[in-house]
Amino acid sequence: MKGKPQWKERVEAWSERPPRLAPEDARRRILGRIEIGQSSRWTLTRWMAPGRQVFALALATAAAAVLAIALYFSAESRPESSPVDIAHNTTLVLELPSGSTLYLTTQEASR
Amino acid sequence: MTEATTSELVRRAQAGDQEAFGQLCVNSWPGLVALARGVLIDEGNAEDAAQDILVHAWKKLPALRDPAAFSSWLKKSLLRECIRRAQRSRLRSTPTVDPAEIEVSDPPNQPSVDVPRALAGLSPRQRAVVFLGDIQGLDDREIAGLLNIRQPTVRVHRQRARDRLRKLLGDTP
Repeated sequence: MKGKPQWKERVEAWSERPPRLAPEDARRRILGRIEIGQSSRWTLTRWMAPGRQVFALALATAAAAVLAIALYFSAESRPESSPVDIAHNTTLVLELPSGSTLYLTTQEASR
Repeated sequence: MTEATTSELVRRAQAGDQEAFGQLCVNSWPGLVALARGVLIDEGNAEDAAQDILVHAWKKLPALRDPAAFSSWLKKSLLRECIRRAQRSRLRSTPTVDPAEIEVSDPPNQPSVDVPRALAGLSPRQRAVVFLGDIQGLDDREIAGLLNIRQPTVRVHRQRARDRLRKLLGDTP
């Protein structure tokens, strides 16, 4: 029967070494970290590789820029409270919140 | 570690029993470190990754619906983290290796390339496929599930990894 290839035997031998840190010691360290509530390794920035951090920052900046531009143009398109276009022989009709209507002739509006 | 024992420990740990979780750590530690070492090569990095995964597992344990799936859930998390770390640190270049490890893995009259350096020539996923398949004996379907890749991709990784390891570490039985 053909034996195992040499590369496989060597890789197996290398991988079968026990960990340097014994299981009981590992348990103590892990439970110690849980007790302390060590979570800095699991922050978002820790999870994200530097490349992804740059990408996320660029994406956030672009989104903020798009939002700013959208707000700017939406303000631009909103009709400004236009000044009364004063012209001669014009009656200005104003509908008040109370429901009544105010009529102003040209001379009264320009005062 | 029998499945019944693991499931019971997981249920107790999910209820907040740290002693039960500690026992899970003890039981799974050697396997996790061996797997992490297979991808990261460096012993310190492997133990670091295994510890981080177990601390993370304690926080995420309540979300695990099937206690019997604890081992594969843990392996999947560890592999994802190890591949991410290996890709980030670009372990294709020369790894840091303790000279004492070279003596253990290279008896006299062996080819001059040592195992860690040979593994460093593989991609992280190729290393993972070799360890899961050739060392731990998992089939392609299981490997694909753990690494979240397709089975044909598993076969491609394995073939390339074996070709390279044969050249560097020898092929004769």
